[in-house]
Amino acid sequence: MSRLDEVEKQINNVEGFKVKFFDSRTDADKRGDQEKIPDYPFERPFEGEKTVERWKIVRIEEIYPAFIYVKAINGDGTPADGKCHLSTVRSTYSTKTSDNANKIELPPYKVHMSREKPGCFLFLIDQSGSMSDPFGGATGGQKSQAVANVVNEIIYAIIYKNLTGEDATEEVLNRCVIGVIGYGDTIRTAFSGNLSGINLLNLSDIYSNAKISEENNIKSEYWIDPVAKGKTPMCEALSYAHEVLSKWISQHKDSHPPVVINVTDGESTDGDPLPHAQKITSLSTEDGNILLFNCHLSSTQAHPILFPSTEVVLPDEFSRKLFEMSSILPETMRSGIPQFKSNSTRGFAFNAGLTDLVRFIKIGTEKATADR
Amino acid sequence: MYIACQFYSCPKYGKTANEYQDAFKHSLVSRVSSRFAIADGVTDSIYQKMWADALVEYFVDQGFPAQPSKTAITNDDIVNKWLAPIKQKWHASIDWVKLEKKPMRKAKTEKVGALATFLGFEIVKVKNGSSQPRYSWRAYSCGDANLFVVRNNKLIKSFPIITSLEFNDTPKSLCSLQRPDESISTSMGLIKTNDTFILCTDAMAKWFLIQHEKGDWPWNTLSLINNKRQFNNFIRELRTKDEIEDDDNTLAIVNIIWFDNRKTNRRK
Repeated sequence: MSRLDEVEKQINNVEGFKVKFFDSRTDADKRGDQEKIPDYPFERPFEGEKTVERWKIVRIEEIYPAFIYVKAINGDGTPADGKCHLSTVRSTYSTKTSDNANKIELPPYKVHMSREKPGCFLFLIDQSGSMSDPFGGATGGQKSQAVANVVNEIIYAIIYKNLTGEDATEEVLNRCVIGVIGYGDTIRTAFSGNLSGINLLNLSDIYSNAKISEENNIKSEYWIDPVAKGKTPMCEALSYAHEVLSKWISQHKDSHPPVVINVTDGESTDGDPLPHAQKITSLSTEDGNILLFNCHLSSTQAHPILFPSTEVVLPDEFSRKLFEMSSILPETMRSGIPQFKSNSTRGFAFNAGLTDLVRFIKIGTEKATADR
Repeated sequence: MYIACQFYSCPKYGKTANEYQDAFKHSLVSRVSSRFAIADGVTDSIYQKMWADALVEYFVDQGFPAQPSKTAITNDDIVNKWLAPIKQKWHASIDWVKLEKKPMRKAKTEKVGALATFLGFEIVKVKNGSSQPRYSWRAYSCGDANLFVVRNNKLIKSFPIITSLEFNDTPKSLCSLQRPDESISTSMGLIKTNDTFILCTDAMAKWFLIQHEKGDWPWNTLSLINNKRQFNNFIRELRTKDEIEDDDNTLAIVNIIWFDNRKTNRRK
């Protein structure tokens, strides 16, 4: 229920012409501040070929009380005749008003990843020698194992969500592609076996080539093994990612923009990665710019930090640099994380995974969620 | 009274009939009762076609234990009791040994299970002691599969969805796993001569309501469909014009084509 003048505005926005409510008992113009008037429940304009009278019968009379009647108003302020076509009434307004009535501008990052408009996840994973150092986070072990865990968990969560069907019709819905680029002694795809050497892979191919691990009698799929070798050519890896994603975007302009997840201990050995990161995030589809998230797995034994909105809370220069490189979380994703309401929250994690973040990216119909 | 039922189905674009995830079943239970049911397996769940089939089959065979009130949502206990044997059947149909080799599939089957929207519809004779037979309809719903009741070329009931704005990506659904919050909405009404009942899954229901909101009479368009080929062409045309979402489509049109009111006339 809304105020009467608000309802008049709702009708104007949907139908593309102004209306006025009158009191059928006194024929007087009703006061705009009158409250508890039912909202106009339609989002599409009534057909232009239909008359004003027909529009009133179908859309107005069933919703609004009998003592109210509505007049459609022409652009010059005169009431429109009941036999007049709605398209004629609309044409009396400027083109701009009429166009606005029919065009709905969607904010960015609204496109759901689907088979028709697939999305793209590209992981950049640090496989340098320093990754053999101990991980400071809760799981302990080597940083290279923590990196593999972060990536395997996210790939698992994406495929889990898209796994469907019966035994005979088992299917992983290819609503996105995934690539994993490792950087260390060389820049190469981090998938092995049948999947090696291909930058971006369908989910169904990734699923059918999973390896199975078994720990405490619990089996699980995984894909990425820990590697720690060579330097940390993060700039070169970002440049390679730029090349891969430019090509993908040129073929998927109406898709959700790619999501890049860089998992590293932060110590780039080939220069300042920030300009390279900015070059990537300047690429865009019609739905928005590429999102670059960073996951900093450090040897420092500090509390995990997830989605900070300021670099002040971060422990060292590497994490502050990675924070600066990270995209601000779009509103569509923040709304899934109630505790991160700040509009400066960034897609950055320190000594923590980013699986939660991926859950808030719109993949498919959202009718069921991964609960792992 | 005679009941005529036409049923049509069409999978998503580029999909085969095997990949169609909706389910439909109807039966003439007795001379005084008929049941119809449709269910739409949720794509993001697993073994959903098996679940949708089990739901419609059980409803058509057994009905629903509670009498509907006009708009009440039935008690959770009644729904859970009604669902229990259907859930057992779904669970027993799964090859759990085979699943041992597919840990992710097994995990999703155990943690997410199958989801489906559901609409059950039945026609029953009213026991009113009068010599004139009277019939009523009852509907049981969870989610966005919809029933439309058309009388004298006017839409007199849309259940459970009333406007096209109400469709979203997260409709209520029935789950094959134990869940505390299952509920089914109910509705009912008396049947009059030449009433038409249209049951359909969400994409077609949304198209239907959009047409009606524009001032059209979509039931007339649907009444021109006489066979599966015409239905497939109709859906293809709507998809080409971007007027319907690309989804599995299921449509059942139930016509009450003749009502024996001769006795009433004689009395007058």
